Amino acid sequence: MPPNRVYEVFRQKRLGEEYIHVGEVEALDPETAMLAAKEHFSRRELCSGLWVVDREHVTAAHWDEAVLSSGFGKDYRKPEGFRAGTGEFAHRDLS
Amino acid sequence: MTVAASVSAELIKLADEELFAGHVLTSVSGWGPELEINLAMSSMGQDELGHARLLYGLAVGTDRDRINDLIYARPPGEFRAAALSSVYSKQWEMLVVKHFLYESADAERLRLLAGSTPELAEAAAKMRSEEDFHLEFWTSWFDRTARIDHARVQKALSALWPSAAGLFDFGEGGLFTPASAREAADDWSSRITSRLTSLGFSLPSVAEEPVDDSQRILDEMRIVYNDAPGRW
Repeated sequence: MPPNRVYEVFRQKRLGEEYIHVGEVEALDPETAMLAAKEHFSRRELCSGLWVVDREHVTAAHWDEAVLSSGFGKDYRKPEGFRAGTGEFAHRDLS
Repeated sequence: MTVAASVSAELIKLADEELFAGHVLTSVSGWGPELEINLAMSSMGQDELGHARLLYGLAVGTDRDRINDLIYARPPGEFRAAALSSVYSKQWEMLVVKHFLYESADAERLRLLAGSTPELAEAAAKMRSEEDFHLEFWTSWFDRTARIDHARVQKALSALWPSAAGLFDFGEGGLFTPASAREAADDWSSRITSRLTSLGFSLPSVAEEPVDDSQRILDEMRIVYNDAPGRW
């Protein structure tokens, strides 16, 4: 048998919703990956769609956590002073 | 719903086959070549056990005790399952060939069932949503396994093909008309034969050794029931 490859599995719970990564399977090829993914990730869950993606085809970021998380904790960037959907400021006094 | 005794007997035959196939699949789930396949086999085996219960319910009503009696207390000689459904091999080629034959024949039988009463058609539709996938799974693995080890697949076909015809062994005046059952059996048989011969396989009509593991399945399934009668 040729060696197995790793396939990342994405599941959509309901039509129109986003596909979310739920795990991976090892398989020979996309077809057997899909056969395995179907029984692994949809047998007890709502499911309206599945994707399998060869891990080799995923482009991963080369930055580390320090770079990727650098936006975390910058509260001043959050639009909390603004009431979403109303077009109004929650606090008039922004001084 | 009450059905005629002859119809009930044939629904029970279908249920027995799903019960045997399901028991084997859930029992061999540590023996597939990979974790992914083991989990899929176990899951599909549970589907088959569910279909067995559904079909028993259609045959005798949904009373649990009656269904349990059919499964656990019926004399083994009264089971009419085709021997193929009982084959209890842990060899991958045997599993693949068994289920390729079983699921492809079962698809024909579900088509027959779909043309029967509305209640049976509804059950057939429910089962098909799972069986279509089972057929795809085993067909795909049959094709791959045949490419990888033709000789071992031939050996499994020689052992199992002769017992597959029993899947269409229905009586007179039961669930299906004899003509429709025969036609479905012939369609299936000629389709499978031409597919397999084109892949270079031969299909002997008689097996060297008969295959029937139904007693082993019943012994396993009934361990608790027999050990603790009335208390299980």
